[in-house]
Amino acid sequence: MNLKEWIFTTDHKRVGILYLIGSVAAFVVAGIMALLMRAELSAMGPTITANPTTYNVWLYAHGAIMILGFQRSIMGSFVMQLIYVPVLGTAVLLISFDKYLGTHFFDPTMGGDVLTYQNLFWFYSHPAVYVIFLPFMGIIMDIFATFAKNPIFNYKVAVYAGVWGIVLISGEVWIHHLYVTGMPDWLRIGQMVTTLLISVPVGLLTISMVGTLYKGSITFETPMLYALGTMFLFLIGGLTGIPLAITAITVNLSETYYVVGHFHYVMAVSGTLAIFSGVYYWFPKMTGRMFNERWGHIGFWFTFVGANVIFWTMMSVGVREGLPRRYYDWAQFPQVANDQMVMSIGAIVIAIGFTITLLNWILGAIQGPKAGDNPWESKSLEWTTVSPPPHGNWPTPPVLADNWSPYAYSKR
Amino acid sequence: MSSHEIAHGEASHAHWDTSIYPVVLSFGVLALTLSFTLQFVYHLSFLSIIALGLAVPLILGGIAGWTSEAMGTGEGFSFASMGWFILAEAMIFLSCFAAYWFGRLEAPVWPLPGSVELPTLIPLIMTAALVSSSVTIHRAEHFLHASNRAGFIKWLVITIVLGLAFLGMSGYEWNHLIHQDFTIKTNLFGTVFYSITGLHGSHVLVGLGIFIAGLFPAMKGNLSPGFWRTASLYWHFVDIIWFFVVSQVYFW
Ligand SMILES: [Cu+2]
Repeated sequence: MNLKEWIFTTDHKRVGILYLIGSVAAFVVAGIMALLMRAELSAMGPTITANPTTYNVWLYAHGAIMILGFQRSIMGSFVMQLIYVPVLGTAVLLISFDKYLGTHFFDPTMGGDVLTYQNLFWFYSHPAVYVIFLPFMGIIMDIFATFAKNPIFNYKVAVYAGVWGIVLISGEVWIHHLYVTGMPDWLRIGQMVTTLLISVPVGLLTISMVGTLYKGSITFETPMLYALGTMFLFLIGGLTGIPLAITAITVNLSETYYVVGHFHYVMAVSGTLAIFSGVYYWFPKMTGRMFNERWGHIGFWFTFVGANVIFWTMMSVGVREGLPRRYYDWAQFPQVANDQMVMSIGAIVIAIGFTITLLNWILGAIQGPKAGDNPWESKSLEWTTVSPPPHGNWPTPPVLADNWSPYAYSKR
Repeated sequence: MSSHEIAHGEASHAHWDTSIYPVVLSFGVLALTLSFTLQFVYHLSFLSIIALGLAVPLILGGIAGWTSEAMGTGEGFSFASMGWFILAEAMIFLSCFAAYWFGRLEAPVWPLPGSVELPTLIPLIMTAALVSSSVTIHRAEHFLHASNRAGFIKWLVITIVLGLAFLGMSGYEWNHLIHQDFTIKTNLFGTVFYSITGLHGSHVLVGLGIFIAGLFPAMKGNLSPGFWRTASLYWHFVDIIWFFVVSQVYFW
């Protein structure tokens, strides 16, 4: 292997793999930040740092670096990235202008407006959830079709109504993040209706997922396990989002651990599991080798159980005690001591799962058995070339039958 | 550069396409952000200047090298990509205008205390210069397609001169206003005025950089119609944005 041909590559497959390595590195760093926070919160009072600012740095780094880990580009979300990411970039630029150049974009005493920052930030950050959601939907749909040996159910409805419906609606609901900040009632109610409306395209995608599984001949290899886990976690995350869309309820839940728990279900862990399922699925194609199936399963169960322990407890403690999020300590809430301990244990369980998964990938890529060109018997085009694909993708141009379709499965 | 053919019929021992310039450019950008961090967060001016000294040649060299490498490979996706890039750029300008609109529409009094009367003649001349430069680059392209190299270079140079005149007037106006104690720190209007005209001016500067980067190969006879089609699209975009700047910031 020629290292120079990797570092200076302009081949899309290799650039993609470099991105993947970068993303995994970002995941590891962001995960360590999360572990530091969980360690700090596991007991009351100062635990591993006496400086609340240090805790804030971990909090910020966990959020910011995790986002780096998630960046990927596939059509629907590609368009959204072009529209929304520049707005976040500008928001960040303007706030650093205010801080370092003495400008007044967000300073009300000199004619600026604090809410401008919130608006610019959420104009990006609400759709950002879907920027991540859409590619992972695409990944797990492909995996469902392959491992259930069924064509994708309601494919056209899923694409046109589901994916593009989300792209359209998600662009105008960012103001729901300002419910508690304050706004006129007509705007609040309008935002509530359109926010709830997003359930419709998401519901259509869910119907497609379940329909693809229905009467399929399902096998539970590691990628499929992760894809099913994604669906389960996303369902919990999606349903627990409904109360947050409803203004009368969200006033009580805003800024509590409930929000953190919901957000991590819907975005963080279901997104992570989807990406892991994609990496496992295309692992034989990318590396030409096979990972260890048994350790794949073990890593999945650690991650899945750990995620539920920590984030379910988080939502529960938010509803029961109204525990506020982002705080360095919880001295006014001695009754949550057990919950905090349980969440920290959950974090350790996830860390074990991640470590197993990472080792499985590294060892599989180095010394796994040869995988063959199409170990999952998928019909999709990438599996017709050799693993890993050579320069130019196909040694000889692929020949396709006239009735070829990526999901033309017949029952086994 | 990257190959988009589905298959070449070559065996897997064929060599992989590589380019050193993406790596050079990313280290340049890293050094640039490092320079800002050192200056503004840690107040280490000397180290900041060293980082800047590393960043500028890396970035310019990366762009120049990448451009000359790509010049020979045909148009590729450059024209369409410029369209997407302009969409993203338009969102940046929209965000800045949004910050201005939010503040202005909610202000109890306008103009804000500390604001000064903006000159009206200079922005009109600047508009004339920029609009003519859009016409002249179009004219240059016309000669390019007629394979008239001398005509192309003549109109390209006129375009560059008009762009430089625009920047010169902008600088003169800034200087004039700063001497009236109207700065970026005065109030929201000062903030918005310098940020938006500065953001737009930086785009004019980049456009001029693109023109000059292409001028030298053109003088040696290397004319890439795809490059000029893309560069001219960008220049028209910069022109259109100026209409928003002039109508929203100067004459409202
Ligand atoms: Cu939202």
